[in-house]
Amino acid sequence: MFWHIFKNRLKIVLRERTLVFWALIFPLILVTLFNFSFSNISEMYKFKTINIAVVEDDVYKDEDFMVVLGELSSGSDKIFEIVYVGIEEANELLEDGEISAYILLQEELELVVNRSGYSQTIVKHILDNYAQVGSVVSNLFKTNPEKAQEVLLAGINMNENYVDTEEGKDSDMVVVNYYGAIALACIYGGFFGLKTINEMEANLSSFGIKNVLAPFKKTKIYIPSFLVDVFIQAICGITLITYLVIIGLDFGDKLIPVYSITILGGIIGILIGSALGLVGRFKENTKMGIFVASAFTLAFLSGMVAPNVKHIIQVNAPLIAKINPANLISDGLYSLYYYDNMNRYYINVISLVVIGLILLSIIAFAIRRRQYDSI
Amino acid sequence: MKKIVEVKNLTKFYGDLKALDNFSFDVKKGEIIGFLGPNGSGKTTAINSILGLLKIQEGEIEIFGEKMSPEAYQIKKDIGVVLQNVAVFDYLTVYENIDYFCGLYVKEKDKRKELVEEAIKIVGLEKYKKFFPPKLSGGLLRRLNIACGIAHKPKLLFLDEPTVAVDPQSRNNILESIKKLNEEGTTVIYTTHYMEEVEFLCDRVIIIDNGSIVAEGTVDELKNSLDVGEKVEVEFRELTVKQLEKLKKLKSLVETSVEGSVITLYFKKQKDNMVKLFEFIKEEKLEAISMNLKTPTLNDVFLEITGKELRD
Ligand SMILES: Nc1ncnc2c1ncn2[C@@H]1O[C@H](COP(=O)(O)OP(=O)(O)OP(=O)(O)O)[C@@H](O)[C@H]1O
Ligand SMILES: [Mg+2]
Repeated sequence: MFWHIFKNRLKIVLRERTLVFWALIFPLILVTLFNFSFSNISEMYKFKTINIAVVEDDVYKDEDFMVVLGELSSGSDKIFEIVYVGIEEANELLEDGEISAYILLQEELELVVNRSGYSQTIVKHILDNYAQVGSVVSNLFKTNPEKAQEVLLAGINMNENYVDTEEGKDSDMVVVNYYGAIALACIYGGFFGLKTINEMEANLSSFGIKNVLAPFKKTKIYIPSFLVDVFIQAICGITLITYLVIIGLDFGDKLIPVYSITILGGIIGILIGSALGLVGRFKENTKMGIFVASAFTLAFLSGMVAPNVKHIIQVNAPLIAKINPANLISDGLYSLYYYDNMNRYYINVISLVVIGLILLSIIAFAIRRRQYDSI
Repeated sequence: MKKIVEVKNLTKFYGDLKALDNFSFDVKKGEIIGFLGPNGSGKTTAINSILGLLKIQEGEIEIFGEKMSPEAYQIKKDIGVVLQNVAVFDYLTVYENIDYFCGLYVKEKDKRKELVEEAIKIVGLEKYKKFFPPKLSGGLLRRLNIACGIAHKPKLLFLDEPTVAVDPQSRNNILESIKKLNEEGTTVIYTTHYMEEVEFLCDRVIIIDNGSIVAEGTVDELKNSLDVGEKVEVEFRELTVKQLEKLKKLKSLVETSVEGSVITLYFKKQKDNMVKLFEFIKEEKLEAISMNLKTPTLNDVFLEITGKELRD
């Protein structure tokens, strides 16, 4: 029975082109469009000032380095915005993302960061270059400041389409658009879930009547149908991520967790569709409309259209951010990109799993129904 | 004879609307029983209630001698259903559709293959096995719908208006198929609002109106229960008002209606009606242009009981 249902559902779902379109083609088109528009936008960005802190040592003084820092943090094309603080405050600023890094002024200059990124790379390069050329460069600033900059910035490709990644702005924003689109693609798994329920429930379709009349429990039809949905949605998700990797979206080098959260998100999408199919007394098309609108809203709130929406929601309505599955998916991806440490990713994954379990219990409860007030 | 279905005092409300009112009937093994009733009379509701799909407010339903319930898988295994709304998957071919629904009942692949082929033959879809339903005409689609309900050889088959909007050729094919299945031992419950189908097919008829059973019996029994015998439509070259009044006073006439120049005469059930009419024509030296004799139909039965036509 399992394979009989599985095989036939697979045929039915794969042959329905509109479903394949929404689940697979539409997200691909969406991210491709993003890619066109954002690569143009990023070219317009120029290098931006990097916020750093400098923690001075009571004993050790390096006048040359102070000169260099002074030069690098002045003028209209300054590279650094520097605050001079104590170590505790520096840590706090770093924690809050106010600065990209701080430098401990001591015999051996020490750079402290809490994530890796382009800004951090630049600071590190400058320190390394300074360590090599030493005090020479501070004198060079007096005679030929451009040359001095060049020396310090040697090895840094300033022409890359990178922009400052601090303060959760700019290029970070661009990836949020993509992550939101991935989240939307995941939630769109609900198309499969809705269809499955629609064809299973007697009050929703005539196939449903015939399925309910079959001589066995409804779960025997639901489980293989659900697994078909998961299977197809997973393929769609994997295809989307692979495509994004190919066109060069930065996922922070952690692809397995990226694929995993995408597949998990797709399952959540399917469950949302199924649950929506089971509750409420609307017609199929109405439910479809509700679903499309809410999927888009969830993705919008997760920053797909305007990345600062995600930020605004996170600050002003943290609860919504925490229960919006699209935001959990997009935030999971973002945390893989932004942080070295996986904690935030796991929190998002766990939240998704909890939401999934809640949806599953709603479905399990509603699907037990075999008698209807009206058909 | 063994009772296959026994329904007692079935009452079903949709909200405030009483869709079935104290419905009681039974079906014996090997019968084709017809539910005849106009649109909205409750035929589909009755079937869905019997099948355990609908919550009912009152009543007892037994099928194959056991209480019917949604979990009565032993009963369900031997039931076949052809729904009023075609229930086939657009993205499965004719063959795959029948195989899918048959597969809900029959696990063994080889046996299923035989059954599917047989069902295809019964409804005459051999040429269309690889077609997808959207490519089938309305009539062929209905035949597929039937094949999906009968392939697993149910002992009890429900058909809910399987011939609605079907071309005459498909309709004949469908009716013949049902007869054939019945001859092979399937008990059939058939709903329709076409009285011709009931007359052709059914051993017994249950006439439904407004959710109540208003009459029950064989076709002949029902017709014999009528007060009216023949119905004659005549048109005279000339008929004076006086003559018409005289005509209306003919002894065995129950009712007369005049529409333009056509007069419809409803006679009581007795033998010499036509003889009396001819005598009258002769006496009055009338010249009949046309004369049309109609024996009573189930529609007349329905009309007499409910005061309205079966189909409007
Ligand atoms: N789901 C429903 N909700 C509310 N009322 C309903 C529902 N289904 C049917 N009805 C009403 O119940 C009555 C019986 O309907 P039903 O569909 O059983 O009639 P039917 O004899 O099958 O008609 P038809 O020949 O048109 O198929 C009608 O008055 C109809 O409007
Ligand atoms: Mg009906």
